Amino acid sequence: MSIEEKIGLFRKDYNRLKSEIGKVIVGHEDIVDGTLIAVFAGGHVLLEGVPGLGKTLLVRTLSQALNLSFNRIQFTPDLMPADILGTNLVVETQAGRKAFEFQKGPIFAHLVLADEINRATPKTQSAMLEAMQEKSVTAGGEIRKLASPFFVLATQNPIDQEGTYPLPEAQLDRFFFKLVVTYPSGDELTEVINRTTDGRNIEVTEILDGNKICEYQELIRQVPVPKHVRDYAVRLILATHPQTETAEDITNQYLRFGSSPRGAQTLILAAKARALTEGRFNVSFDDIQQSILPALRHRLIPNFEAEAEGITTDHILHEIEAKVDRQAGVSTQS
Amino acid sequence: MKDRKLVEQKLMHAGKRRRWQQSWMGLWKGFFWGALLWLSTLIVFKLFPVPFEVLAWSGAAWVTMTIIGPARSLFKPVDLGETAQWVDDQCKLKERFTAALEFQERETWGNFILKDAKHFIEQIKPRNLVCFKLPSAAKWSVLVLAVSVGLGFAPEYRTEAYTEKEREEAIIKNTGKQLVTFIRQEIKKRPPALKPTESAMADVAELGTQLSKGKLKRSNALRDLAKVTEKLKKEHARLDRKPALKRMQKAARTPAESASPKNLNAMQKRMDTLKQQMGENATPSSDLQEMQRELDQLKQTASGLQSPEGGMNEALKQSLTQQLGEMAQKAAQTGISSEQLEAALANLKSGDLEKFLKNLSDAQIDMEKTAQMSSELQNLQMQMDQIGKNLAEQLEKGQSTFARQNLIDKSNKLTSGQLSEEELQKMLKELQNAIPEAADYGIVQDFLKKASKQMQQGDEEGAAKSLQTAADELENLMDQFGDMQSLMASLENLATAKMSVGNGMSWGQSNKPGFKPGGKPGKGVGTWGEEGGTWQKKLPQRAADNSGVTRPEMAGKGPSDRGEGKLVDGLTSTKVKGQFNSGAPMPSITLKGLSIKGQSRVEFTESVTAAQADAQSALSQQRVPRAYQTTVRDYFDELGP
Repeated sequence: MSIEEKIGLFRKDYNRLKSEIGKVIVGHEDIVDGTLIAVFAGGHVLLEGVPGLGKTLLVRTLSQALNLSFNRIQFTPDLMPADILGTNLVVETQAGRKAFEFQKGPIFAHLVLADEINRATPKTQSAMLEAMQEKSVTAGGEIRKLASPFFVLATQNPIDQEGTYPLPEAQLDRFFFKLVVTYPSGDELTEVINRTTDGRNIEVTEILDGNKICEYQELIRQVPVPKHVRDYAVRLILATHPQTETAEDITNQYLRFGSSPRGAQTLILAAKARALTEGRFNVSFDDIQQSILPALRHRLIPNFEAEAEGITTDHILHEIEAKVDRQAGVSTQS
Repeated sequence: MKDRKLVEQKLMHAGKRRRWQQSWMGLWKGFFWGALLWLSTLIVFKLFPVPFEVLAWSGAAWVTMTIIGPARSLFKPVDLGETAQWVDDQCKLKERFTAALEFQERETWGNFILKDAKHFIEQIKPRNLVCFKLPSAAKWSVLVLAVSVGLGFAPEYRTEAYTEKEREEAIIKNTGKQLVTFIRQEIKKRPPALKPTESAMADVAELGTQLSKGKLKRSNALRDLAKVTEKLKKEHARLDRKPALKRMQKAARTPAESASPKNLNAMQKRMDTLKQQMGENATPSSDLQEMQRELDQLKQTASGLQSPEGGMNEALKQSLTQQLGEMAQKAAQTGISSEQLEAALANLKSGDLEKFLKNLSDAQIDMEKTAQMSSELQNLQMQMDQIGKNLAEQLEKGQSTFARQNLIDKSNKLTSGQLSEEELQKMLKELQNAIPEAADYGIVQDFLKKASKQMQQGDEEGAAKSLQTAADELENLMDQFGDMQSLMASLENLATAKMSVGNGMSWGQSNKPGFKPGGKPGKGVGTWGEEGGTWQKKLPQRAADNSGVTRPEMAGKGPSDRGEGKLVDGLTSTKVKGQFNSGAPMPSITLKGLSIKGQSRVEFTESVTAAQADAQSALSQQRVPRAYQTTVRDYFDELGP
């Protein structure tokens, strides 16, 4: 199949996937989009929202539509790393001898839902670090590869912070996107009620499988980025670094730390994925701008003044986006 | 390559069209900023005493900015990248074209991008992308213009001192220009013969230039004017001491001097023509005037001829017939045409009143014409009488033009060698008679003596040369006299300049009669004064002396130095001579005299004599303020036919 055909097929599959998920999840188009973009870009997603908004349902529906193995981990304060990764157990062999056998943990699936990830201890949370970054687990001195593709979709409750352990910056940085799930609108709520209380059972059709997803991930990485668009992404990232030449005023005022290079990678990958979903062969400024909030909101660390004044990273990112000039990177062509 | 080329071509085309739009925006931006600059300058101009040139420069900057605004965009080369971005934004194509410019067709993805770009660019019409709507700068410009127009009606704030200073500068500049103009005209009319005169005139021109540039303040201008005036006065006084020039000055005031050897012939011819027209026994103009008076009376009487019942008043008719008959007879006897009178008599007798009155009017016209001719003839005769008949007379009267021509004629005659002995003797006698009169003429006398001796010795050629040399020397003296006149005129103008600058009055106001020594006649003494300010060298047309009285001296007395005189106690002036009230015009002096307006029926010389007598009386009785006595005396001295 030629690349052109692949691109056409990708777009088609993407739209089908979206509409399939839409059968179960009412509204939340930007969340669904963001999740799918992250999946096709090969990243993990952190979903933050109050309970009952359909975060878990989204992940479950996604796993059904993608025909991927799915495991759910409910994070509790007493959860141990071995509960996630697996452990060596003593088993009796056929010969009657005792031997150690590694029992895989729930992380060994394509799609892992880490529910309320902030309720587990840092020790347990850090067990996810290697898995999310390296896509492998080291247990009993042995490195075991995780399934491919591998996604972690974590959820977080913004309220009820007592007895929780906020994710460390290192772990936050490993999430591709942080998506904030909001309340549904009136119409959406009505639809939710209609769908969930009338006894109907909605079947989700498999649209893609793991191999296809891997193929599409490779395709997305091939999408070219024009120089001026890439420069724009770079300028955006640099604008988040306080006490530098490129920092904006709001950065210096409210940020302690800015985005790491992973933020730039995320921006570009997400923009590439968005471009392909719209049937374009090139990345545009709009693609970058649509990815700014989900890609960078969890990578900026506000200072005390921002917290005291209630300034969120979303607000800071809006200001930075407004101030950074898109056109500065347009080159003269002869 | 094809796709890329096509995309580039289309973008180039769009870029060129976009330049027009940018020029349109640039035009309004330039206009707006120029208007803003103008408004700011106008506000400053209204509030502070800045010169008007600042506003003018600001206006020029406005125009320049309005031109530069669009020109910058119009002549800027098309930037494909910028154009591609612009088209992407206009058509919301999400950087398709900017990406297309970056990639090559040989690359896989480059190929897709270019194909995609080509697909979209074919659908785009650059004409539709360009929109010539009025930008916000245009709307703001309207506001700025409205404010500027409103401010235009607001009077600018200037202190009185500043306004006065501006006025003073303008007066000084104008005075300078007038001086420069005058000097140029004077040098053109009478090029200076002497070096000191040339230097003095050059100083005046230089001063005029300095004044016209506005480089001198009032005090410095007055100081410089005084300096230059002093210099000119010295030079004038030096020339004035020469007796020959004094004689020429005296002659210049007589009408005879206005004649020249060239137009003598014309004068003679005119006299002959008039004599021919009037007949050999021309009636004296006094008789003509009497007859004119009688005719006027007759005509007035004739207006009552018509009786109320119709027909004519017989008694009056009889009386008129008699008077008319006598008049016609008298006219015939005195050589005046009586045709109209006789025709009137005939019509009166026949009872044709209308024709009678018409004939009377025609007779009046004829008589008036005859009177004019008679008057003209008399004037010409008077002038001719005034011209010296021989060399001695010419030299004595200061008629240097005639004297010089006389010498040249004699020299030519001697050179021709065709003179008879009688003629030679006559010439010698004339020369010898002229020698005493030539005493005031310097070496002219010497050359006349030499010529006379040479003639006695029979050396006619030598004598001719001597006479020619004498003529040349006379011409030299005439040139010096011309210089003197130029200096005089320059002094008059300098005085006007001093008055203008000193009193802060315009040139025209300072140049009015009575404001300078030797000024021209003013309005208080008749309307015959010439406006030119100089003696007009032309033949007077109507002025004539019909009193029949031969005056011993017709020429004006000329300027005479009578000294300051001794003032009667109690009449000592409280004002220093030459200083006037600042800003106040000089008071006018009313003289008793014949104040005549309109068409004068009184002879000029009669009025002049009366005015001169009155002026003399006023001066001797100390009725004229001391500061003005010289001016008044000089003025009336220069009056004359």
